[in-house]
Amino acid sequence: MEKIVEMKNIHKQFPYVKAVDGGQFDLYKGEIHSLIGENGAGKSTMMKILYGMYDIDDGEIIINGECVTDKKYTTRDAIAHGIGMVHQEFMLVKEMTVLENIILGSEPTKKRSRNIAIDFEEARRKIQYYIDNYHMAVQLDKKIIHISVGEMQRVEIIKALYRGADILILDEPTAVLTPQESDKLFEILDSMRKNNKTIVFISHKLKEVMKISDRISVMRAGKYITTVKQSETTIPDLAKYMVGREVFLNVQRTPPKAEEVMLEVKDLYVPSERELSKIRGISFTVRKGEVVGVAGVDGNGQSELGEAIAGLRRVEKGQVILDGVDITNKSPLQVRKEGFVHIPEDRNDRGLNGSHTFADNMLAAEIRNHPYSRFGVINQKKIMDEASIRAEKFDIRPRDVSNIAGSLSGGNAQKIVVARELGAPTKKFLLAAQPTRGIDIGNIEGIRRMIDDTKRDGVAVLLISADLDEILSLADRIIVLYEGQITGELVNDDNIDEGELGYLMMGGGRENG
Amino acid sequence: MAKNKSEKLDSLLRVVTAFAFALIVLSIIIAICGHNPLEAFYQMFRGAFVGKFNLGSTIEDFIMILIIASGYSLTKRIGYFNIGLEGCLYVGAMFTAAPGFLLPDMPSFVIIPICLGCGMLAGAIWSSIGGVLKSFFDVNEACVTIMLNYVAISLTDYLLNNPWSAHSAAPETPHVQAAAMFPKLPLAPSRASWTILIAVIAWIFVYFLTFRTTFGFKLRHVADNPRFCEAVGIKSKLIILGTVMLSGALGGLAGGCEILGVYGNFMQNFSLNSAFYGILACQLVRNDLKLLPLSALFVAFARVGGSGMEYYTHIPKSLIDTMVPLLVLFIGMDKFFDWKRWMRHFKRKSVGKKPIDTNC
Repeated sequence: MEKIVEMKNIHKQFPYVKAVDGGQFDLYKGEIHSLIGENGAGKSTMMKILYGMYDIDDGEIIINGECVTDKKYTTRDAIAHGIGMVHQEFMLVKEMTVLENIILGSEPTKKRSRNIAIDFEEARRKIQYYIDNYHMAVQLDKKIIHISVGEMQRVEIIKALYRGADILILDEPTAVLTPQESDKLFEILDSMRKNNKTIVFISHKLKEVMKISDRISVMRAGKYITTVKQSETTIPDLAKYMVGREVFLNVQRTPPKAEEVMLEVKDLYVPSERELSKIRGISFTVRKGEVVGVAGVDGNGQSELGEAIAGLRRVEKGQVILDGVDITNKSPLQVRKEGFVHIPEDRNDRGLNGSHTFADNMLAAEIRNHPYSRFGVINQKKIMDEASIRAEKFDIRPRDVSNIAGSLSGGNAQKIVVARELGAPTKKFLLAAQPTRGIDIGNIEGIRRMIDDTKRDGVAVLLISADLDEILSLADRIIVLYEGQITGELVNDDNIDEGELGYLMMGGGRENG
Repeated sequence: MAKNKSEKLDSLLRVVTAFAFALIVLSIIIAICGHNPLEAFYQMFRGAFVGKFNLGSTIEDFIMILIIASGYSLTKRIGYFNIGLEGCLYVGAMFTAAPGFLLPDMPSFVIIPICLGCGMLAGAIWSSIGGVLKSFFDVNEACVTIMLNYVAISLTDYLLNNPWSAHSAAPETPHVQAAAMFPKLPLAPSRASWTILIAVIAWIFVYFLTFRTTFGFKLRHVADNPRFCEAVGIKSKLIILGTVMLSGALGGLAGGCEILGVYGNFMQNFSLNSAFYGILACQLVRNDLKLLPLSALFVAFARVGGSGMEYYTHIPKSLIDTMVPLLVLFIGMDKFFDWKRWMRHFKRKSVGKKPIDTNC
C-alpha cells in the first residue's frame, strides 16, 4: 500500500502546555487508522496540524510525497490535498438547510448567470452521489436545528467529501452518538474504506477502536508512544499504552443501602428551547446512599432535567422535593443551602471560571461561609489552605492552587469542579451531569471512584450521562429518558440487558409510540 | 494573578515600547506642526510640576481623575462600559451642592458627610438606570449611559437656572456654606484642596473591595463567566447592579469633591469631559488598580502640562491633547509590540525554508 501522509517529529507549544512533543503519524491509502490517547495527549492537536489549523514550531509534514511545511500551510491547502476533518463540535450554520450547509463556501454556480446564481440542481446531484454510495441518510431540505446529532454528523462527513476529501479525519465522532448510531457510523466508514478512502479515527473508546481500525497509534502527554496493527493488540494493552499503567475502568460498585428517600421529583414539566428536550411529566425518587442513572441519547431532556433541579431553569409544573423541602423554582443559592451539590454538564460553561485560580474555583460556592470570609471580608489564607488540602485529596495536578484553571486539560479541570462540589462539608444530594465527558481514562477512573465514595457516605446521587458504560458501572437503578419522558426503569444487576437499554433509549416501550 | 516573572517582564517591556512609540509619534506630529518636540516636552513638564500654581493644578485634576478612574475600574471589571460617569459626576455635584446651600449652618463634620453622602446617593441612583436596564433587560449600556449624560447635564441646567439659581449674572447655584468647604492645600493660588485624601480613600476602598471582600470576589467572577456564577449560587444580576451603582456613587463623589474642594458652587458646564479622562486613566493601565494613581497622575500631568506648554511656548494645547489618546491606542495594541512573537515569526520563515534544499 502506498503511504500518503507522513508527519515527522512534530512540535507544538501552546501558551501553557507543550501540546505535541515529537509527534509522529502516517497514513496508508485506504486504511482506517485510529489515533488514541487520553485528553490532552495531543491527538486532536496533531490532527488539527495536519488539517492546517495550527502552525507547527518544528517538524515536517509530507502529503502525497510533497513536503508542505516548507511554506505556510493552511486549511485551504489541506483541503486542496484532499484532507477533510469532522470536528468534535459541529461547524454547521443552524439556521440554514442541510443542502446549504454542505455547499457553503464552494457553491456550484450557473454558467449562464456569469457564475452569480447558485446551481442547486447540480449541488443536489453531486450530494446524492455520496448519499447513495455510502448509505448516508440525510434530509437535504431540513434546517440543521431540526435534525438529530447523528444526522448532523453525516452532514459533516458529506460536507468533507463534497470538498473532495480522500482523507477524512473524525475527531471523537462517537462521543455524541447512541450505540445504534455508532454502529451505523461504522458501516458508513467501512463502505468508505472499500471505496479506497482513508480515515483517521480519533477516540478514546477502546472497544470501538478495536472494532473499526486497521492500525492504531497511541499518544501520551504529547508524545508518540507506538503504532500497532489491530490484529496484533488487545484492549488492555492499548489502555496500558495510553495511561502508562494498568487501569480498571469498571469501578467496584458499593451495594446500595435501602434508606429513606432524599430527592423526589413529582410529575415534572420543564420547558425548553428545543421541542424534543422538553420534560413532559416525569416522576422518580433517589434514596440516600443510592446512585440513580439517567440514560438516554443527548438532547432528550437530560440537560433540562438537571437545570430544573439545580434551580437554573424554571419549572412549569410539578415539584422537586429535597429531603422534605420543596425546592421547586428556588434560586441556585437557596437550593445549594439545602445541601445540593452539582457537577454541571459543561465544565467550560457552568463548571469553571477559566480565568481564575484553582483556589477561587474550588471555593466559589462557599465563599460566604466562615472561615473563608467574615463580614464580607475574604480570608485569602484560609482559602488557599483549604484549596491546597482539596488539591491533595482530589489529586489535582499541578498541586499549586494559584494556577489559572483555564490552563488545565479536561481531566484535571473536571477534578477542580469535583473538588468544589464533593469537597463541600455538608451535602445531601449530588447531581452529576456528564461527570467524565471528554476526559482521559486515568481520570475517568478517579472521578467514578469519587462518586462511588460519595454514595457510600450516604449521599443520594443522580447521575446523568450519555455514556452507557458509565451508567452501568455506577448506577444502582437506571431510568431512561426519551423525548422528555421516562421510557423505562431498570435495576442494574448482573442480568441487565444492554439491548433493552438501547431499545428504551430509542423510544421503545413508550405506550403511544 | 499567577503569572510568572518573565511574563510580567515581557508585558512591562511591551508597555514601555508602546509608550516610546506614542512619544515618537507625538514628537513627529509636533515637529510637522513646526515646533521643537523637546522644547514642548520640557515646557509641558514645567507647566505641570514647577511652581505652586502648576503643581496645585495638576493635583486638582489628579483628585478628580483618580476618583473617576476608581469608579470606572469597578464596572470595567464586570465588562460594563460605564461611559455614563460624566452624568453621575454632574448629578452628584449638583446634589452635593444642594444641601450645602439649602440647609442651615452646621459644623464641618456634619455638613460635609451630608453633602458628599447626598452626592454619592444621587450618583448611584442615576447610575442604576443603566444598571437595571443592563442586568434585567439586557439593554446595551453604552447607548443608554451616553444619552443619560446629556440628560444629566440638561437636568442640572434646569436646576441651576430655576429652583436653585443664585440669581446672579452667570448660570450657577448659590455658594455652599463656608463650613462645607474643604481646606485648601498650601499651594495657593491653585485650588487644590484636602479632597486629595478622599481620592486616596476612594482608591483604597475600591482596591480593598475588589480583592479582599466577598463582593469583590463575586464581581470578579461575574465578569468572566456569568453562567458559572449562576451555577455556584452567585446572583450575577444583583452583583452587576450593585457594582454599577457603586461606580455611580464614586462618580457622584468626584463631582462632590469638585464642588466642596474647588468651586464652592455648581456652575454650568463646570466639567467638560472630565469623566472621560478618568476613564482614559483606567484604560491606560488596563484596569490594574495598583498602577491607577500613577496613571491618574500622568493623565493630570498631560492635561495641565498641555495648558502650561501652550502658555509658555504657544504650541497649541490640542496637540498635547492627542498624547493620552495616542498612548491608550498604542497600549491597547501592545501585543503588536511583542518582540518575541516577531522574532519567532522571522525565525519560522527562515526555518521553513531549510527543508527545500535538504529533505524534500
